[in-house]
Amino acid sequence: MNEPVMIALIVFFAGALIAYATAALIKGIFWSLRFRGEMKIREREKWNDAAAATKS
Amino acid sequence: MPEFAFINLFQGLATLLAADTSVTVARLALIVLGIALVYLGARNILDPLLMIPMGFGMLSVNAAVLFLAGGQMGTIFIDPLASDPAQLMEVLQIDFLQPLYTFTFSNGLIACFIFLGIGVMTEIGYVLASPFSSMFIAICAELGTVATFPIAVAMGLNYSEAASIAMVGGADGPMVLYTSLMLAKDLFVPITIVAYLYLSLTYGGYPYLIKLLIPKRLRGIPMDLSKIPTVTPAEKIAFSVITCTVLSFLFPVAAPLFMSFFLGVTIREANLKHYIAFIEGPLLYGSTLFLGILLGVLCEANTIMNPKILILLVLGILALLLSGVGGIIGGYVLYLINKGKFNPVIGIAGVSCIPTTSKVAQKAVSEANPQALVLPYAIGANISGVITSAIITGIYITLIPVLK
Repeated sequence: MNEPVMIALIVFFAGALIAYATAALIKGIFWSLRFRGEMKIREREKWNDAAAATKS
Repeated sequence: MPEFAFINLFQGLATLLAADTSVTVARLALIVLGIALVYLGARNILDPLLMIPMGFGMLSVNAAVLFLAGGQMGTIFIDPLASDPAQLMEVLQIDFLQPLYTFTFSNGLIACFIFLGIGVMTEIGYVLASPFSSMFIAICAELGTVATFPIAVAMGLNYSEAASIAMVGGADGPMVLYTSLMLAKDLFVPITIVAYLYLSLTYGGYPYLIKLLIPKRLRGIPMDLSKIPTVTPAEKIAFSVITCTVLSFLFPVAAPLFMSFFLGVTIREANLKHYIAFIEGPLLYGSTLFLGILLGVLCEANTIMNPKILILLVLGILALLLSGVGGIIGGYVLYLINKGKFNPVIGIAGVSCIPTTSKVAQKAVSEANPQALVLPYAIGANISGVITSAIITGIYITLIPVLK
């Protein structure tokens, strides 16, 4: 296989690898944001329950 | 009475007669091409926002050649090849479009303004719907940027020139501009012109490619929009800030574009109405108008009369064609993986000519099935296309100088 074809293949596979890593990163960022949001809601519910229990 | 040639009163005509035959023919051909672009733009066959100013610039600059100091022929529009600071200062005071070219075009600022506008108009939540399939389509749509490279080398270009013209397949004007500036500065002007000329052809040409490769039955497949997560503005802002920071760390070459795009998204999500009105209106339309005029006046016969121009024209269209085919192949692969529940037309949106290819995809789908909506998925593939183009640009710019 000649050199330009080899270079093209290297560019494609390196590109594909980095692109998938970036997709994983995007998904990871989104999950983290969602997870943080859920944790906040749970914490707030716990706090509200605790506050209600104290009042009663 | 001293002898003088009457024709010299009309220098546009005088220079036409005084120039080499090849230059004269090229000037006349470019004037005709300019008129054709205005006509095709006005008829909505090509993108009118870009084509009408571009056509006017092209016909005007090729008609208005005159004798300058020292008997040289040139125009008072622009001198894209002026690089010496003293010469550049002089040109800036004479050529009326030179300030626009020097301060907004050759440094990519105008492209950033356009990306800012695109960011303000983009619903970022769509990219979160399915980043892996979007990225798969986008990488398939890079077929042109990869396959054109060895073909360009076989046609006599060196590695730097081949990589620069191959980037036209990424269908991302600013990336082509940057790659040619970094790798093949001597071909910067012709490559940029070829790139932008062909990018506007995606609007007119890709619908035919879709119809040719995808039967109507498959073009009308509806997409399940319930899978798209509901994302709050706060989440979108946080996502934009983090993603912009991380992507800028990874791909500094495309950082100005990422910053512009995600800033636009954040302005939209923060609902900054005055900024939105300014960016969506005067900034975006103003940038598009001036980009069109600049591209037109860059098509001056003497500037683009490069023996390699014909090769660049062939390779440019080949790169875009291969990328379109690659994107559709990606769409078909996802159609098979999803057992017929994925519309393969979305594949064309992997070609990162944002938002044109998304609109082309939705239009093709609507023609086949007016009820089907694929735009959210197409925008996701489009944004992924910008990211993959930046990745491929980064790889070429890093790899090619090492191989020289």
